[in-house]
Amino acid sequence: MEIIKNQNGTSLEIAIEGRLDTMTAPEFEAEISNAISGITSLVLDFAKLEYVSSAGLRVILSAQKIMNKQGEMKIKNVNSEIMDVFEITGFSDILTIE
Amino acid sequence: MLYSYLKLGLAAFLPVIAAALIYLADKNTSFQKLSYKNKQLIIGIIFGCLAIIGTEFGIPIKGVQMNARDAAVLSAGLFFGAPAGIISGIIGAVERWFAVYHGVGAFSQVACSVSTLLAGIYSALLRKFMFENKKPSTFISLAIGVVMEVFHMTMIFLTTMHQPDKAMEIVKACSPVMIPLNGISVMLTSLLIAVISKESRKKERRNTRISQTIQRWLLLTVTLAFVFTSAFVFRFQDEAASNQADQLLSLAVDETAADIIDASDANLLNLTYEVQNDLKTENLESIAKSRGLAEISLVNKDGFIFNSNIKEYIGFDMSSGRQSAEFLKLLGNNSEYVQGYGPISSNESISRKYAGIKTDYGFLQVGYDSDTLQSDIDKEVIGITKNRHVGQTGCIMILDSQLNIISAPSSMKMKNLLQSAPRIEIPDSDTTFTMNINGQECRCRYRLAEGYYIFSVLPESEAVQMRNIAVYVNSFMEILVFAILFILIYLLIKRVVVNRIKSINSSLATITSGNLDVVVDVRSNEEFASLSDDINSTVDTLKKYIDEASARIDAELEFAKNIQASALPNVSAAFSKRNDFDIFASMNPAKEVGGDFYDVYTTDSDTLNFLIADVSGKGIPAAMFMMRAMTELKSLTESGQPINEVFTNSNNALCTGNDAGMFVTAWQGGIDLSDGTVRFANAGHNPPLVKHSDGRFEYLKSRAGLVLAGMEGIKYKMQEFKLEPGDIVYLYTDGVTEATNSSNELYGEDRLRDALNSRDFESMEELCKFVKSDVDSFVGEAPQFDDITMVALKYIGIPSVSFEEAEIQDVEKVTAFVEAELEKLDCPMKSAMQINIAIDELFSNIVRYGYPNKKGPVTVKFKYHTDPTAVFIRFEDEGIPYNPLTKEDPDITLSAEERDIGGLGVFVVKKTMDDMRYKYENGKNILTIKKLI
Repeated sequence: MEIIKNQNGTSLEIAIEGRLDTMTAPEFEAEISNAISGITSLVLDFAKLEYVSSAGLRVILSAQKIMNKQGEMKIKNVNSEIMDVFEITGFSDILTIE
Repeated sequence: MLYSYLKLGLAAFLPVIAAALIYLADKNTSFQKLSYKNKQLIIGIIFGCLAIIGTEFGIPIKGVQMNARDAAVLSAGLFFGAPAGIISGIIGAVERWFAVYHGVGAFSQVACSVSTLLAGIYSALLRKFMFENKKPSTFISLAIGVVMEVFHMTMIFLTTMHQPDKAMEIVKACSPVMIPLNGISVMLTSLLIAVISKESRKKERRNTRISQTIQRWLLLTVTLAFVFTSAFVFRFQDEAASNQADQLLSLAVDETAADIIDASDANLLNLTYEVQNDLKTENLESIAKSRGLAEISLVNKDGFIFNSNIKEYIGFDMSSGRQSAEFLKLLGNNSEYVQGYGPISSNESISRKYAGIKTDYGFLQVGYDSDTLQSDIDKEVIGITKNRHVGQTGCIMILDSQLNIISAPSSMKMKNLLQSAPRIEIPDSDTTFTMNINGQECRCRYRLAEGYYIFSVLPESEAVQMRNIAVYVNSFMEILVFAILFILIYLLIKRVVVNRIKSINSSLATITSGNLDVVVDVRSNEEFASLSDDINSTVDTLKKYIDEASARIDAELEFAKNIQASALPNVSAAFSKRNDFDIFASMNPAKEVGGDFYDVYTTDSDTLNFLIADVSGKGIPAAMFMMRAMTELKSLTESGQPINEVFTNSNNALCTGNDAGMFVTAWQGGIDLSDGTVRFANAGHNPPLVKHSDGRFEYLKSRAGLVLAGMEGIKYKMQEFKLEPGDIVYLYTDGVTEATNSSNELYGEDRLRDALNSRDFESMEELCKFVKSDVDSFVGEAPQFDDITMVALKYIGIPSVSFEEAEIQDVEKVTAFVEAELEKLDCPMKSAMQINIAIDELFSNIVRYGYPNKKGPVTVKFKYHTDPTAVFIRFEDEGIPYNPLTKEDPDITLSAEERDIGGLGVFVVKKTMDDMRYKYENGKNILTIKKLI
């Protein structure tokens, strides 16, 4: 997995490549928690993300919870597989997906 | 005399004893080990010796020997063999020929020797051609003995024709003894041998043969013909003999009477001349007185008596009486005349005999009274009979008016004819009658001549001798002719009828044994030709019906075969898409429908059941029972029972209503495809061959239970063995191992094992086809007797990845393993992603929660089905028993703040996979997900 962060003031865009699963989720969680303080706008670019497992969902959910308090979070370029998972799990209702 | 007859009887009985002893010896002692040649020689010599005894113990009678020689020769030939008969015949004949030199009857030397030799040949021919080396029956034996002796008697006649009376005497004396004696001897031999060999009882049970029926009727006809012709010949010959005797007798009487009359005439004429001479010197009265004449008359040329010693005759006209008128011929050309004794013309009460001679005055007539005449000729009459014979032993007698015999041959003892029978009334003259003369019955005839009774006498024995010879010879010849006819007709019937019937019968036997293509072809005469045709057309019709029936049955069997074939699964088609095993099964029925079957089916995705079975018998019953057994086994297996209970219950079910007593041998196994464990039960079936990946095919040693449907209540045992990936198990029926080639060798278990070990096989189909072709080439042209059925299963196993102590990062290895498998299946990206997520979720759960505070083993297995393609991924761990399916689904409607992340992973898996199952087995959590791709 590769994580590319692009910070512009208080807005942060994180592009993730590869898979967000049990193995990669802890790294992603660490990156987010390092970068998230003071951020008001978080954009997750899933264009190059293959899939998300429940471990990934947990990180996404905790990020959403934080951003709910300090600003907003958007997810863009979600492929259909990941979208399916979001829909199955009801995440599509609590996430802002562009 | 009695002693002689006893000796002869003994000689006739010896061959009977000898035959019985030899027969027993041939059955019970080392005698039977001798060669045929030696046996015949020994038997021939023994019976030859008995024939000699038969001659030497005989009774001499009238220059011949009454004997029992032929019985021995006949017994040898009839009961022991043609060579023995001929050998003993030669011995008997030669001895009889030379026996003449020590006093045995020379008269019948030729007849007896030849007969004995012929007896040997006769018995040999009969045995060979009429009885075909079997022993003749009792009565036939008697007949053979009798005919032989009749022939013997006829030979005596034939060789002594020059002395028929002597031959007659001999035959008359011998035939009543020899014919029955030899006949009975042969008959007793037959009877005794039959009793010893117990053949007589067997014969009674058999049906009468044609030849026997014909023999009986022939015998009856021949006997009647014999009696009739014999009676006719007797009657005819008797008449002829009487006529001949009459002629002989009357001729003798005629001749004697003529001689007497001639003598008397000559005497009287001579006297008349003497009277004429005396007349010159003496007167008529004195001449008449001195010469004792009754009358002397002189007759003139006018036929009147002009002078006579009886004065009242003077002037008598000679022409006035018949008797006197005869003398008038002396007035003509006759010079002398003698008249027979008879009444005179002038006085009928006086009988006289006259003679007359011509004189110059007329003629002179002289007459005798009878007493004067007799005293004159007595001496001549007495002499006349001395050398006369009637026939050979008859004679002439002359009697005076008081029937005193005055002339007879010297052998005559009687003085008067009525001496022996005073009151007898003598019949008329010139008829033939019978009376006792000199103590002998004789035919007699007489005539009165010149006052004498002239008797001719022929003894009755001579009178009928020719008749008797004729009757004897005729009877003998008839017996011989009829015997020859009898034999010829018997042989002819055998040739014309019996042999042909046998020929037809042998053809029929071939037809009955199943070869309907045999044609009966006896065409020697119309009846048999028509019989042959009838049989052939019957067989043709039968063949047609059989062909039709068999065509119908064939069609039905073909139908049944199709039903049966459709009941057996097409294994290669059904499981071609499985990657975890390779299976092939085939059944080649022997003829039509067979009793073999196999079955292969899965009860769940992990268990493959495979079975092979052989129902006893063949054809429709076996096929029907097969269907029953197959259904029973499958339904019980599918109900989830372990294999031992399947067999136990199937057995009980098949036992009920199994009146036909059929049974099934069966071997059924269920393989757990996840680990290769095979659980099986065996009901009396051949052990399968198992090949482990590193070894060779070997027979699986296991204890077989009783056949199914054999006995109710049998408990079967479940046994097991394990297959590793690449291992093969091969099942077969005895049609494989008991396939037989044309030299009657079995294919056998060793050959089967060696064939399987001879090479490697790409597929189970190839394996099965190779075994089949190996069996076929072994069997060659020989027909296939039994169904050939086989099932081959190769366990490939399920691809898996295992960790002894699984760690969370191992999930990558699992994912890589599954992805590699999915790639082979051209799995769509999305499904692959979903599967990856599922693996991620489930594997991480196991690692995290299955083994709290430690690490433990985890195995992930991958398998798939095709059509539709389905992927199965199975997770096995030995951690805390936990069924994720029982966890409640998370509430996905809550807001982000309210959400709990737990349980979401399993929930995603549930939603994205097509099926998900959990079981806890053998201390393992087994979770399987299924995804259709």
